[in-house]
Amino acid sequence: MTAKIIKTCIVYWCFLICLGSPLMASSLADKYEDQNKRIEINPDLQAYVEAREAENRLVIEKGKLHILGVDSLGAFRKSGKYSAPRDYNTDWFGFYELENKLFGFVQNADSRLICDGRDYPLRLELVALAKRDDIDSYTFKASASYNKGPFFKRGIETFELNLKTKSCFYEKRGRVAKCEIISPNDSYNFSGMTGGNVQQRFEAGLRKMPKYLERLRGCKFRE
Amino acid sequence: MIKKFALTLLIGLLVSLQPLVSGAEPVLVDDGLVTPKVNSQLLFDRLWEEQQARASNGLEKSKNKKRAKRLLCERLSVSTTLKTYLKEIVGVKLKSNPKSISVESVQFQNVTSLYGVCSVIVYTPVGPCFFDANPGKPINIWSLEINNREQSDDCKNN
Repeated sequence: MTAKIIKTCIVYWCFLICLGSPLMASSLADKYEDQNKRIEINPDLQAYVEAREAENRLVIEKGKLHILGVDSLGAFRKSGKYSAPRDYNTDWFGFYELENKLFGFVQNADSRLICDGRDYPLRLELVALAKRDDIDSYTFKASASYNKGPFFKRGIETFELNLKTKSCFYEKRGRVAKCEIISPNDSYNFSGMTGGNVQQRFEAGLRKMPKYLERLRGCKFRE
Repeated sequence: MIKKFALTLLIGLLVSLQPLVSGAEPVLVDDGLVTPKVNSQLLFDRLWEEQQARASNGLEKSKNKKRAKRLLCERLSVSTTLKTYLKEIVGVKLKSNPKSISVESVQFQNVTSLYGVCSVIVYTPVGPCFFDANPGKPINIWSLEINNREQSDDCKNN
């Protein structure tokens, strides 16, 4: 008798589990659909973000990546055809050269967007750094400290560089020091301390675009 | 005939494997987005203008912040809580003052802001007393610090 009851219980238990799982899955699926139905991405916002990402794509795809390093003990170390920052204290960032102009990328929250109850999503923001002058030099301001790449960091130190001769100087608190540049041919073999090829890290930023758009649900332009 | 075919097959295989071996070309994963036709000159100019505008806007904001601090100090001057505490502070001092002057006769004016600190000059019948108070903080007895002790002491001793 007891065995019969236990057997019946097991059968019912199995039946409930088999019935319960699809029900739960379908309720979550419905919930997911509902929540995504409620908040739509603002079409103007989507167009704006896509235009910015298209510009990023142009620079990353068509531009030449350079790496600038700042370290009084030497910015880079080389092992075979691979380069890396000298050590964890070395400050460096990547920037792109495109048709005699330099562009950098800052990882930034977009101050033009407001998202209800949430932080502004981070995105890659393109920065116009400098135009080449008559003597093939570029001058721009950046931060020479606390930057472990690959992104550019805004700052007050003046950098002056020549990409042909690879000369690089920067002025910090009235003192001029040397910086180092790794040329485009080397950049593909340059990996940051956290690992990964630098060019690929920028390209990965482009691939995050669909996910970024997802996070813009419920966001709008700041008035 | 078979040898020729095998050779062709081998060359074909090598050619198709070549990009995998060298791997030097920048390859973007095809995510369905087409590289746009954007003029780099126009792009640079637009970004440059935006950056300049943002920089000057930042400067303006910083000026406004200073202005806001000054306004806050002005508001501080009409705060009844401040009046009460000033009276209390001066009142305590006046109690220990042998000349003993009525607290009600305290006036205060000339509230200015310098480096974010509101300087309050209190004109009492015994002479001016100087106080510094931080703007934006609730006025209570602890936030109203007497920074210029010498002058305050003078004020007390007068």
